[in-house]
Amino acid sequence: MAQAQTQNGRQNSALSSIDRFFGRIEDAVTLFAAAFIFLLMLFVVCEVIGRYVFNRPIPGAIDWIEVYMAIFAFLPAAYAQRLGVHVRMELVVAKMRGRLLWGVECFAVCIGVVYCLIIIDKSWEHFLRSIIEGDSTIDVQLQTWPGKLVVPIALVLLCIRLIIQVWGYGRLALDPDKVPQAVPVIMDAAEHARAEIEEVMGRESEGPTDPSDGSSKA
Amino acid sequence: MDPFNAGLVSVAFIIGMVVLGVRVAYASGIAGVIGLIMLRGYDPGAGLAGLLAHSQVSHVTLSVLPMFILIGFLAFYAGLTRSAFYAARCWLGTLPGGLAVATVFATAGFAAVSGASTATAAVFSRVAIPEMLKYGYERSLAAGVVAAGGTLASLIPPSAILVIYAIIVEESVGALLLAGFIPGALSAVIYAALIIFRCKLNPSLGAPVSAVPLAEKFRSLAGASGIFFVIFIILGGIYTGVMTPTEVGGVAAFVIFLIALAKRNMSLANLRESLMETAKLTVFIFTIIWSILIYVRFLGFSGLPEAFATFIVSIDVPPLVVMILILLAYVVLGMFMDGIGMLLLTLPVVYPAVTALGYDPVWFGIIIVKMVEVCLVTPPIGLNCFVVNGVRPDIPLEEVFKGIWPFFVADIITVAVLVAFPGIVLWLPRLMIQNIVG
Repeated sequence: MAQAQTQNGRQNSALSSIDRFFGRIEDAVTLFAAAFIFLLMLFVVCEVIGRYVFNRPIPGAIDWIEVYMAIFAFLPAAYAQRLGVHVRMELVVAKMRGRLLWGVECFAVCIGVVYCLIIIDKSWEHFLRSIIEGDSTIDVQLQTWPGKLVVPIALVLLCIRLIIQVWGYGRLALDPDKVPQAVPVIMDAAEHARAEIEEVMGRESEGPTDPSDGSSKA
Repeated sequence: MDPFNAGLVSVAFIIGMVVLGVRVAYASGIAGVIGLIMLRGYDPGAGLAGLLAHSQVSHVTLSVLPMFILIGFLAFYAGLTRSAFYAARCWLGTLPGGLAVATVFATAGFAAVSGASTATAAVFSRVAIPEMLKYGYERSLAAGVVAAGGTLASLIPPSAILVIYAIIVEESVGALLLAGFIPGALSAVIYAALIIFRCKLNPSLGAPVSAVPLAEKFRSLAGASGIFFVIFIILGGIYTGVMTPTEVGGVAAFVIFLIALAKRNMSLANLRESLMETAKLTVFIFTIIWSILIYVRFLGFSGLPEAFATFIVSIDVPPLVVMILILLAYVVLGMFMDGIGMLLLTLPVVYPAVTALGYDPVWFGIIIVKMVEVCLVTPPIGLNCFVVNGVRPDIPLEEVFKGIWPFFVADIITVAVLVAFPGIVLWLPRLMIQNIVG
């Protein structure tokens, strides 16, 4: 299955130091995007209350969402790549071992690097055009460049993460006996299920649940 | 190379890349970029891809996705799983196989606040299975009903996968969400009927539990009132058109957030965790959407989807046979791939063919999502079964899969009913359109 865990161990090599340092940047950027999701929730609640209770909708609500949604649509891409969340098929790769496995994995992330580089270049041009032309939204003439700037920034972060993984897989392809660092490891269905359970059960086990708890146990 | 052949080569290229483990987003995105460059030259081709990356996802319709995902994560803290199971048990426990029937409706109820199948299966493995085993229910039935019940989440709104389908095929998100409700409920009813039938024939599978006083029944409903409120907001908001899907999602997420706060389950750490998980899933979906849409633009220039549609229509067999073959192909593909990736990869080519055959886009969306869910409980992957086994290692995987078979048959019956009577799917969305237009 697609989801995997990063294995960076406790090694003190240059690669694992860079992995951990960049991981902190990814975490911070993702937290920023996550906060925006919470803000979006509050924003639409205000819009609905404003519209139906006070008869005063937020001017240009849709424009605001469309300009700033790039923050959660793009920024956490590197974080998701680190955790192996972006979906893929592992049927064939999971059967591979040793040098072949790491070589193929290295190739797979290289494809991602090439893709990112092309889009970074052209989305940056797209951003520059919007600044030069003073592109704005239709309803309340909001400047669109902030949203467009998010795309190349997010993809630069993603590209750095992919390059770290090229390094991680590359060293394993050269010497398969080394311990994997800074790369997601493939999980089979049972391991994947365990990861999902940990995700949910971590949540479920926290704090009291609800009043029916006692009665359902009775 | 002429555009059509370039389209064919691109399909082979993507299949090759995906088999080699390249992430679906990168494989389809780079195929689209290379294709556009081949047709238009580097600057115009790559420039179009760079523009599409931003313009295709900066659309207010897509902002519903993080809201729906957030609802699911917050719902865990609102304590709605146990409340849903307790209420269902109070009202349905006295039926043959009552606790299993209650599990079906509790998972269906929880599906109304969550769109995640595996998460639902995991939580109910802990809430419902111990209760069923305590009353001597057969282990395979207890495990099977939880694994199958989890799949109800993807049809009953809010459902992220239906939103994704709507976006890719450019249909109304509201219509798709409403269309999922009755088939989701129908699946639950067919599951329940099957359990009652089996337990009546063989009472040792699962016995009824003792009745509770009427006052307690109503008290149990109060505990689950958050679920009813969210169903009311989502269906009512979309049906009447007073709120956009994003607004419906935001308001529902906010209500669940307040319930969790009221139950003193929502610490700052919990909120942060929910939001980080939401951000992670959101970006995964957005990345694959914009990459696929770059590829779709190239495919459009290549003319391949139209050619495929013309070919499918020209085959001299009834459309129903073609439809069954397409569904079977999805079952096979679903054995190897995650549902969202599978849908996004195949729809750009398959969808025009399906509409050319005269099938309704909304109806096809519901059928295809139901098929994706069936793959979640069938070997070799059957992730929901692994999840149940993971939470309850005392129930061997073989027993979970054994318990799933009756529900698999029930799912096939559901799909057959939906194919035979498309009105079941289309009635509610059509009513909505009449309501809003009229």
